[in-house]
Amino acid sequence: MRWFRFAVLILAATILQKGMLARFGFKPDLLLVLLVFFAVHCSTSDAIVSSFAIGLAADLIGSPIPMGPHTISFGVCGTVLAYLHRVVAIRKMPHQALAIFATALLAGTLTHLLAVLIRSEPLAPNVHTVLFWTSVCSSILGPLLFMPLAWCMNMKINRLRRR
Amino acid sequence: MARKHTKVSRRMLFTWLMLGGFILLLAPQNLTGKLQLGFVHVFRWPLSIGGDFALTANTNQTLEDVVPRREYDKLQNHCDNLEELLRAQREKFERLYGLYNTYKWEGVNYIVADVITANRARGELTVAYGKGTGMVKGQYVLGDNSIIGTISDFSAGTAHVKLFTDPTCRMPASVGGVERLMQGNGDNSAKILQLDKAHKVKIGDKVFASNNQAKFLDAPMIVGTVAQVKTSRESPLLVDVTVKPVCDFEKLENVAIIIMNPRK
Repeated sequence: MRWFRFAVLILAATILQKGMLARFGFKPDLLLVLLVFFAVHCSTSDAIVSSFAIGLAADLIGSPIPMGPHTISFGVCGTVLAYLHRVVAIRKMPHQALAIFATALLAGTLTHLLAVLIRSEPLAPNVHTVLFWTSVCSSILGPLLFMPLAWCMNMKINRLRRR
Repeated sequence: MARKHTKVSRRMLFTWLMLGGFILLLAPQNLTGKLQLGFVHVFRWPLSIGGDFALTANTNQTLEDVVPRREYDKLQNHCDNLEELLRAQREKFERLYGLYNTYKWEGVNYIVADVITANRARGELTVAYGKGTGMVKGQYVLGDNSIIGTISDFSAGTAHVKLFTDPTCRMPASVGGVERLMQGNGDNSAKILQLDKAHKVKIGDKVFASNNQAKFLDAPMIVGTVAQVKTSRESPLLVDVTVKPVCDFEKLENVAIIIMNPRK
């Protein structure tokens, strides 16, 4: 794992998500796409560390939700996905889209659940709609980004690897 | 000398990182909020560039709107002349009548802040202010001469503005001469619940922000207009009012934070 490239990529995605994409109503979650990419294409240990790191980046731009829920939910979802990938290969684009969609729904639900239960944050009435459309947008865009991401990280993604 | 490698099992790695996550979750919000604001402050330049790009992309422009370069330059010059004229007239007006000499707004200070990011889904703006003292949480924020929200968090140079449409925002507001608490809906609107039908509130009525407990607003200022009036589920004699903002949050480039009675 090339950690410097990883850090630059995460920083770029975080700035893009908070700056440009924040003004759009329904938008893909770039950090979530990165979470699935690294969970699927890295070793399990690297996937665990990268999931928590991406969660921390999501927390930094997650205001008004306080820090913490994203780190935990992204960490848990990324770890589960990395272990799942050891059993079920997620190679084809539809499978990747499905994995992104499911992870987005699960991570989003867990984030809001933690924020509501532990930090007593009020739940927005339209949270379900936002969550669903974010998942849909991410699952459409995500698989298309996997190839350029692999090129950026100097990874080979066509090979089936089981760890 | 050979470097000693410490092998950490996946289970231990996961446990330690989860522990870190929970520490972050349970840490005081004013501390973690500073981290969020610090990130925005450090990267405010690329963030605002991205925001401007999105703003341009969101602006609908048709071919009919486009004018030739010569015509554009001519109009631009005319615009510059008018702006200069307007500036001179404003100066004259302020000198003659004293813009700030009305009783309610006497001594009021404004901190002008640039919008770095606007989060439509979460009803929040992140703004950068240059100079200004006396800022506290809960102060009202003006955008396009209307109240758009309150300061929810701030650190040196950066602040979060909680828009009145945010579901966690509760703002005193008056409509049809009646004062009630307005609560955000989260979908670019807010609601005033259980208003007596006798007040005869109708669509298009203006809604004004009123003074809150901390006395951050001495005079009422427009916040939105009534978009929907619906009979309340609680009683047929009451109505629930939906309020739409009079200002487009997404297109705001700068806002003004109202500092009532600043310390000298």
